[in-house]
Order: sequence, then structure tokens, then C-alpha cells
Amino acid sequence: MSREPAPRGVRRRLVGEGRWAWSALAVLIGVLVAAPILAVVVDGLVNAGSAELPDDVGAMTLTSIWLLLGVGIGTSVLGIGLAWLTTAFDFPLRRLLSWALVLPLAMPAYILGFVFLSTFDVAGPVQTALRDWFGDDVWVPQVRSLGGAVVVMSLTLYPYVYLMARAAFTEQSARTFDAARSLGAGRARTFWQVLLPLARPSLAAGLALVMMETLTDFATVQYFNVQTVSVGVYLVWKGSYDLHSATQLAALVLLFAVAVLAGERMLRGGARFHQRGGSGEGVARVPLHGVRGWLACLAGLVVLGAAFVLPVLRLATWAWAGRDGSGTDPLDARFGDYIANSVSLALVVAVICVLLAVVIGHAQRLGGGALVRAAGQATTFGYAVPGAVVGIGVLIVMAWSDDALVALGVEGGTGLLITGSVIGILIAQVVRFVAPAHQAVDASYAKIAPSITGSALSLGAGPTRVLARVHLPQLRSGVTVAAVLVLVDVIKELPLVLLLRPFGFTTVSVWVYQLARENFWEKAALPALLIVVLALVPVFVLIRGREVRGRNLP
Amino acid sequence: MRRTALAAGLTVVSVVASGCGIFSDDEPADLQVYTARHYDLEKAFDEFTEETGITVEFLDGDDAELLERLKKEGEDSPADIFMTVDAGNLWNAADQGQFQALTSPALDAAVPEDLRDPDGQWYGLAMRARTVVYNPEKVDPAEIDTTDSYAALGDPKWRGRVCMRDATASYTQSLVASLIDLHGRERALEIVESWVANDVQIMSNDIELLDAIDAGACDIGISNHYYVGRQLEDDPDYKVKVFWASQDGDGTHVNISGAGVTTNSDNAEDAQKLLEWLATDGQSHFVDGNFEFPVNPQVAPMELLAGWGEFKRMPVDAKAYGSLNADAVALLGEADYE
Amino acid sequence: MTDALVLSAVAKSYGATLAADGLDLRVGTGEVVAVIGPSGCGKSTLLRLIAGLERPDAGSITVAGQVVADASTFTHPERRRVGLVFQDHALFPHLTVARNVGFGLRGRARGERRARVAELLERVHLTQRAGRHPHQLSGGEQQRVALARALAPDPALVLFDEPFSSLDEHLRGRVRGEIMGTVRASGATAIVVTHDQDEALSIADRVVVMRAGRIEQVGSPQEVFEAPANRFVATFMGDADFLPVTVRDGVASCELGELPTPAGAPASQDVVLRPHEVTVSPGGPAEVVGVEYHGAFTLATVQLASGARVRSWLPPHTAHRVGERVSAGLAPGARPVLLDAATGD
Repeated sequence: MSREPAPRGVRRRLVGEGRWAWSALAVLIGVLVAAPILAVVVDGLVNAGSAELPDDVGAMTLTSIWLLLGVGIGTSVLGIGLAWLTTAFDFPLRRLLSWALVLPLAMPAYILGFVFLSTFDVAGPVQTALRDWFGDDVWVPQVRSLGGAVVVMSLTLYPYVYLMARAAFTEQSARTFDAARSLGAGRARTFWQVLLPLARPSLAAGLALVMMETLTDFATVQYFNVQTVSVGVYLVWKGSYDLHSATQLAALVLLFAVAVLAGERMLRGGARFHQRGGSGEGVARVPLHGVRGWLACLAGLVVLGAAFVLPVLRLATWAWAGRDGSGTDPLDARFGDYIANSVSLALVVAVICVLLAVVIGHAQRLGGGALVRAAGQATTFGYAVPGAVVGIGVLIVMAWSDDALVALGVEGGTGLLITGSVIGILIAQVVRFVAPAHQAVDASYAKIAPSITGSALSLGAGPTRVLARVHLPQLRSGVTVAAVLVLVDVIKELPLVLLLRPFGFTTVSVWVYQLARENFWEKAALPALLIVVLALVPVFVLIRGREVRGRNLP
Repeated sequence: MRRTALAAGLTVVSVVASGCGIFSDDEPADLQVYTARHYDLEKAFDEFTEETGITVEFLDGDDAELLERLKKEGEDSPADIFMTVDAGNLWNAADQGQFQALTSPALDAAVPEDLRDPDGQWYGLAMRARTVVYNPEKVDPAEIDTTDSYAALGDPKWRGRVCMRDATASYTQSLVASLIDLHGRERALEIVESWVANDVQIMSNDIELLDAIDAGACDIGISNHYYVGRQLEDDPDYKVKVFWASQDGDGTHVNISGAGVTTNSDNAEDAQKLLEWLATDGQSHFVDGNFEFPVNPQVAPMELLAGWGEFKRMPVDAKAYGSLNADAVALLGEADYE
Repeated sequence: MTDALVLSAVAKSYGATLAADGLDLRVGTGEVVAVIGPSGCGKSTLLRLIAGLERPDAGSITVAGQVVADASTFTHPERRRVGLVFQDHALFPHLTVARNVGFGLRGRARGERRARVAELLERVHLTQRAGRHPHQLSGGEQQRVALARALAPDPALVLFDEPFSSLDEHLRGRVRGEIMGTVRASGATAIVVTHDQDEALSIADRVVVMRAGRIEQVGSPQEVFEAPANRFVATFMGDADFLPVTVRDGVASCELGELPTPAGAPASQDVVLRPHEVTVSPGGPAEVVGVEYHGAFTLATVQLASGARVRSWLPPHTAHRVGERVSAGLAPGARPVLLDAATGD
């Protein structure tokens, strides 16, 4: 942490005056990533004119705010609480829980939402049993409600906060903690007044991801009948069969995104914390004995059970029940292709996103100035806009370039570059998911002191060598997290693939959609499970990486 | 680091290569169909290929999104046929210039007049009814109003007993659009408000709605008929019955799945053949798997459906459904219908 | 021999803040220069400008005869032959001590590189630690690695940014001695930014005093301490009190008596009085208003008849109580400096 008062807080973390090549690259990336979203807005504003905002836009806005608040609080409580529990205390099953609690990351909210409703809603086993026991007039809380959506989304999204909080808590050196305690602060006070504020940049990044996932969710909120602004975009679009009329609402969603990003900035504060040494050994764990130990264990198990184990079991039961269902033979060779498509798409998108994120992070570190910072911010918009809107944006941009090429005399323009191949899906997924990669890499960059970069440069290493030899080795955890987040997101993503895929290109998520759309839930259970399993692979890689490094520490 | 980068690079190259490979390896089929409907299409298309030798491939997605994609692809679009599950959407696609007019005596003979476009831009191919369903243990069908069964669900006697679909469902939207068309906006708003006042329970899909009725959580509701058929096939003791709505009034609300040949089709001739086949010889292949009604009066519906009896249908006014859809969405919002 | 560093009219501003306001400075080869000033005076900016981490708005910077920054050129830090040592050491945490030191030696033959690393580790007495990682070292050891790393590529100039302020007080003196000893032994030219006056005075050949983006004075430690250019330098470099000077018949005097200054001193001047230049004896018109015990000395604050206050280091075993009447005088042999009263502050 910098000791000297730093009036130019932002400047101080920059090193140098920018390198035009890196800056230009970063700006180019920012422009390319932001272009599809801007295109939607421009296209809408140019063409709409007459379309009016729906009457209940006020109510939608309010609902969105409540949902964001609810999920924000829910994920913070679960994420930070469980991270603190598993880093500061020792209790039965702690080791198991500390990694298993990441697993819900692999569970798409729309799948958990359906499982949750099918279990707890009026026709589900729980309420049926209640009615059998207590009669038809038994009172049960409204499951299909804002509250229900908050619960389900908090359960699926808390791992973002949990991961960031855990990393932040374990990276903080025991010395910080001991110093605070030696000043007479109790464990709880140390947590609130020292560890939590120090973890703030990481927590802000995690929460921003949660907020944006919440903002763009369409499927889950629809299950729970929660009318957010994003639902509004679809309602207006599909109600009028005309995208233009929906773009004003899309602009409103963007406004929310800007608010979320501003919130993140505020949470981070001007302060950038550079921990000396980097690899803290974490806080010494205090054993919890007896009832308290088992209560801590129970808390972890309940969350894990509700968010992951029980839903997976229920899906498995359905899959088993639906195994001899007509039509879809799970052993059909095509399903191998679907899996291969999902996996290779996810890998390519993850690699590209991480590369772009590192380029932008590096350009920012080299001091590219306001333009490069703006480019970094621009990349985050894609994540805050519903997938289908990004998809349409890519189509619009391609249509424009097609026209431009034709006008320039290129025969046939771009042709069917976008929807005729997987290129369109690739571009759109990158636009959408470069944000989480950027967040993770940026948070990692924040932990590299600017003096490290300055030293490396002054020792004669050019920007590229500094990146390869000094930054990348220290960014490894950020890069891993970035890759995992993108991999999981791509595997789960549906609307983009649906909209932009070429003939014959089906992913596992499209497969689920095709079955789920017609309520063939027993048939959809198998591919849904498959999504969870596929998404688990990167999550396991992440966990293993952490475990191994954890062991190597002195 | 270097090895990881190399591996990543190789992956990119190989996947992009394989992505392009999808097209270089496989000869594209004779016909490409964009469709918002997908069940049993494969079987029907395979049958068609067998009979005619014309190959078909299809890409399914959402109505509005596919339409947008069609528009954005413009002249480059590979699609020959655009198939949707809603008359309003067909009208809109035609309105936005995405269909070409066909001259086909075969189609004109097979498809009733109200189920096709007067200019031959699109044709209905399967018909579904959105009607009243009830739990026979809780509701005596004699209690249900026969003049305007939909509006009558706002009667206070059904308070707390009704389940319906959410406002985002196109089914709800086109039903409300038809109410606006029939009764005018003011009356339609009253009807929807009376549903809301009756504490209607909103469900996010029809199967859940039917399950809720079967489980006794609601007594009565509105659903597509084919979901009832599907559930009954799985479970003959399923406690949900179909009531043909408004038989003494304007008739039961129906909607169609249909298709047209796209403006930029490069194989309009074969595309027309496919539509003609689907409306005639292919009708049963197309509709039976999903318990839908054939549009062609010469083709008999499947046995289970025939057992529910004949019914009078409300004429399909595609223009009304299409042009009033936005109004319906606004009206639902105004009535606080979720 | 060319100068290691020449700054001429270097300016840099951040918005409305002038961090460097026309800086001129020459640093000879092998010289150790301390840059001192209060927080925000621009001393860190000066360092960043020399290192190439910032680009000057105007002026030119020449390192070892090569122009590295002026209106038309800007040499990036990696091509400047300027080494950096930071307060936080900035060691690369993923590399061993040896590889940290060898980082700047790219492009040299492997054997040569190995020899150079060994030589430098030897010089900072860390040969035993070559295979360790930075987090396994003490703060002082880390600082020595940082120095060895900076010296390895044989830079024209080594810049130190508050190098000792992160060390514990009791360590600081020793590490400072070791580090500066190494710097001198290697004949390197060094610029050390610090906010610690004792540090500046004790390690440097010359001291640069900065305030608000300007250089207030450049001179040997003796010069800046004993002959401050203005009141700011006088107060910043040590305890100082000021008394007005009157000149009568060519003889200057102040309230403490006649001043041993050359004749012909101009009017309207102040005399700068350091506590060691003031003596106190019992009885007189002045009054002791404060006494601080410092172990080896006692610092007394005395209010003179005019109301002005001066401070005095009392020798051991002299006890004066607060409220006691005393007289203050000039210590024998003291030659206090006169300053133009108009030099402000």
C-alpha cells in the first residue's frame, strides 16, 4: 500500500506515458466490443421515432432495482459469509466445503429456477404434500415471486462473490490480521474494519459480475414472473415483432449497466490496494468446537445442498425417468457433436477473451490515459446487455459493413460471414463475455504494484517482455479465474447461439432449449445435467489450481 | 506459458477450421427452413425427402429473433421458408416484406381461407385451440359460461380458482389481441382487469398450469389443447378436461403454425412444393406428433382429439393478432397482469 | 567527462498543479544527490521524469550525454540506462534473488551474466540467498536485492524513491549505511528522493531542496544547512528561529547582540539562528517558556524581551525551569547567516 498521500490516485498506478501500439490495440478492442451495442441503440433511435416506452416502465425499473438489491444482498451475505467461515475458522468438513461451495457456479440459473419451481410451486411435491396434510387452504408463501427469484439467483450467483472474497481473504497476509488484532480489535471487528475494506476491490468486481448477470437474465425472472427492464425489452420486441421499438428499453438496460459499473468504481473507491509481497498466507484458522462447529458445517451444507446437490439429484431422477422417452436417444451420435461444439466454442471464446483482457490491462498499466481507460470500460457493456440484443447488434454491424463493402465495389460484400459460420457466434460471445475476463484480469493487475512495472521497464525490458516475464506470471490467478468464468458462461449461454448459429450447429444449451421450450423436462434433464457437468470441468481446474498453489506456500 | 499459448492458438485454428468445415464438408440441402416450431419437423421433412428427393434442413429459434435475423441477412439469407407458430407473426413477416406471394391452387384448396394470406404470402399448416381446461373433480362443466367463456373467468365465482399464463407468453398476447379485436379495447381491458381482480395465478408454462389443475391447486384455466393431449397420453387418469370455449358465442380462440416462402429464396419452386406437401399428404406427419389439428378439412385429426368432439372456432384474423399484439402487451401492463 | 544528468527548464503539470516548474539541474558522474522537500513538492515527479515514467511538458533531459526527452524526442524507460529502487523494493515475487538481479542482463552471454550476478550478490552480501524468493527475505535484504538488481546492468544513473522509509527505524540507519556504502563503492551516480532531513544531509554530496515544483536551493549539505538560501530552506533543513537585524555604523546586530558579519551588510535582513548557536545564562530580560529533555541535550525555548522566541540546545547538566528569568546570547564562534527579510515565509 502506498504510504505517501497520493493526490493523483489514478495516475500513480500508471507506469509511463502509454505506448501507442498498445493503446491503439486497446482502443480498437474497446470500439469493436462496444460497436454492436451502440449499433442497436443507434439503429433503434434512427428507426423508432414513433415507438413509445410501455406504460409500466416505471414499475419495471423499480422491479429491476429491487431484484438487483435483493440479489446483491443475497450474494454478498452468502459469498462473503461463507468465504469468511471457510478461511477464518476450522470445523467439520471445512476442507470439502471450501471448494464444493464453488460448484453452484456450474448451475445455470434458468435450470435451478425450473427445478426450484417444479419442487416448490403449487403443483410441486412440497405443496402437494402440504395440501394432503393440512387441506387445500393451507397458506404457503408465493413461490413464483420476486422473493423466489432473489433466492434462486442468489444461490446460483453467490460463487462469484465467494471466489473473489476467498481469494482476497487468503491473499491478505496474516500480518495484516495480526497487526489489527494486536491493536486490540476482536476477530469480528478486524473482519469488518480491516479485512473487508482491504478486500473491497475484489468484492466490487465480484458483485459487479453478479449485478450484470442479474440485469441480463431473462429466463429465470420469467419463470418467476418478475418483470424487469430486460423482460420488458423482450416483451416489447416480441409483442411488436419489431426490434426498433425495443431499443429504447435496451438503452434503459444500458443505463442500469452504467449505474452498476459506477457503483463498482465507488465501491473500489479511488483506492487501489497493492499488497506487498503478494502471496499472503491468510489468517490462522480458529477451530470451532462442538455445536458451533457443526452449525458452521450445517450452514455450508444447506447452501451447497439447496444450490447444487439437490437440484442435480432431481435432474438425475428426471433423466432416469425419461431415459426410455421416445425420440431423443441420448446415445445418438449427434449429441457427441453438440458437446464438442459447446466445448470448442467455450475454449476459443475463453482464449480470445483472456487475450483481449490482458492486452487492455497491459495498455492501461502502461499509462494509455483516459482513452484507454474508456476502452476498458466499454468492454464491460456487452455483459450488461441481454444476449439476444448483443446478437442483433452483431447482425446490424455486419449488415452495415456488408452495405459499406458493396458500396465500395466489393462483389457480394461480407456475404454470409456471420450467420453462415460460427464466426458470428464467436464474435458475439466475445463481445458479451470479455467483461468478466477483464474484471478478473484487472483485479489481478491491481495487485501488481506499479513500481514492479517501473522497475522492470527501467531494467531494459520492453513492454512485451515486461508482460511476458513479469506481469503474466503474477497474473496467473487472474487469468485462470477469467478463463473459467468465460468458459462457464459460454457453455451456459443460449440466446446468442440460438440467434446466430449456422445451419447444423447445435450446442448443448440449444439442445436443452429445444426440449425445455416444449416442456419436455424429463428429456431436457439429461442435457441440462450435461451442461452442469461440462461447466464443472473448468470449475474443478480452478479449484485444483488453488489447492496446489496453496500447498506450495511456505 | 509459451506452451499454453501454442495450445490455445492451435485450438483457435482448429475450431475455426472445423466451423468452416460444417459448410465445406456437407453439401447444403436443397431447402433451408427457419422455424420457430421444431417438434417432429425432422420426421415430416424426412418423409418429404423420401417422397420427392428434395433435401431439407432447418434451424429453429424464437419467432421474433428469427424474423430479425432474416431481415438483417437480407439478400444473403440462406432461408427459403420461414415458419412460425403464430398467425400474428406470419402477418408481421409479410407486412415487413419477408414473404413472396405464391400462386398455388393446391394450397388454396387445402387451407381454409381464414387460415391463409389472401395474397398467398403465407399458409397455415397446423391449428391449435386455446381454450378453457378444468379439473372434473372440482368443476361441473355446466358452471362454465358458453357465450364468452374467456371473459366469464372474471366472474367472482372463480375467485382464487383460476390459473393462467404470464403476460410474456405469446399465447396470452394473441388471446388478448383477439379480445381487443372482438370487443374493443375498453371491454378487453375490463375483462383482463376482472381476471386480475379474481387473483388469477400466473404460471410460466402450460404444462405447469395443467399440473396445477391436476394437483388441485387451481380448478380452471386456459391452455393450449395439445398440452392436454400430451399429458393424457402419458397419464390417462390425468384430471384435466378440455372445454370448447364460447361455443354459443364467437367460438373457441385458435391460432396457427404456418409458413411462407421467403423473398430472397433461391429455390422458391421446391419451397412451394414443400408447403403444398405439408398442407396435403404431409398433414398428418406434421400435426399428429404434437396433437394438433390439421388445417386441411379433408384430413382427419388423430383419434384422441376426435374424441373431444367438433367445435366452432373463432375466425383467425392474422392482421388483428399481428397489429394488435403491441396493444395487447400494453393493455396487459395497464391491467397489472403479470 | 560528461555529466550523468542534465535537466534544463523541465516542466510538468497535472491539470492546474505544477509538479515541475522549470527545473534546472546538473549531476556529475559518481555524485550522490539527495532530493528533499515536503509531500507534493514534486520530488517524486522529478524522479518519474528522469526515469521516463512521465513525459515532460517542456524542457529537456539528458542522461550521460544522450538527450532522452525534449520537445521532439522521448526515450522510453527501458532505453534510458536509468536504474530504479523503490520504497517497496518492487522485487519480482515469482523470481529467485539471482534471477531478479539478472533480469536486466538480457542479451549478455550466459557466463558473463552469471558472473555479474555473482559479483553483485557478493557486493551486497547476499550470495547465500541467491536461490531464495523475495518473500523469504527480510526487509533490509530485499532492499539490498533491489539495489543489486538496479546496479547490474551498469546504469548511468540510479534513482532511489524513498528507499529507506519502509524499513523499521532501528534497521534504517544500518541498511542506509550498507546501501550507500555499496553505491559509493560501485562508483554509481545516484539520486535519492527522501523527506528525511538527516538522511539527506548524511548521505549526499549535494542536496536539492524542492518546494511546489521548484528547486529552492542546490548545494552541499553544509551549504544548505548552514547557508540556507531562504527561510523555507532554513526551516525545512533544521530547527531555525529568525530575528530582525539592525545595522548601525556598519555593524550588524540583533536582539542577542552583535553579529560577526562582514561590514557593509545591507539593511532589512533577518538572522537565522539554529539552537546550537544560542546560549542561555541565568538572570536577564528573557524568560524560559519551554523545556524539552532529549537525553544528550535539553532544548529550551526562550521568550526575549521583544516577544520573539529563540530555541537553544543546553549542554548536559544545565537545568533551567520554565518561568526562570534568563538572558540569551550568541554562542562563541557562531557565524549565523543573514537572509534578506524579503525572501518570504
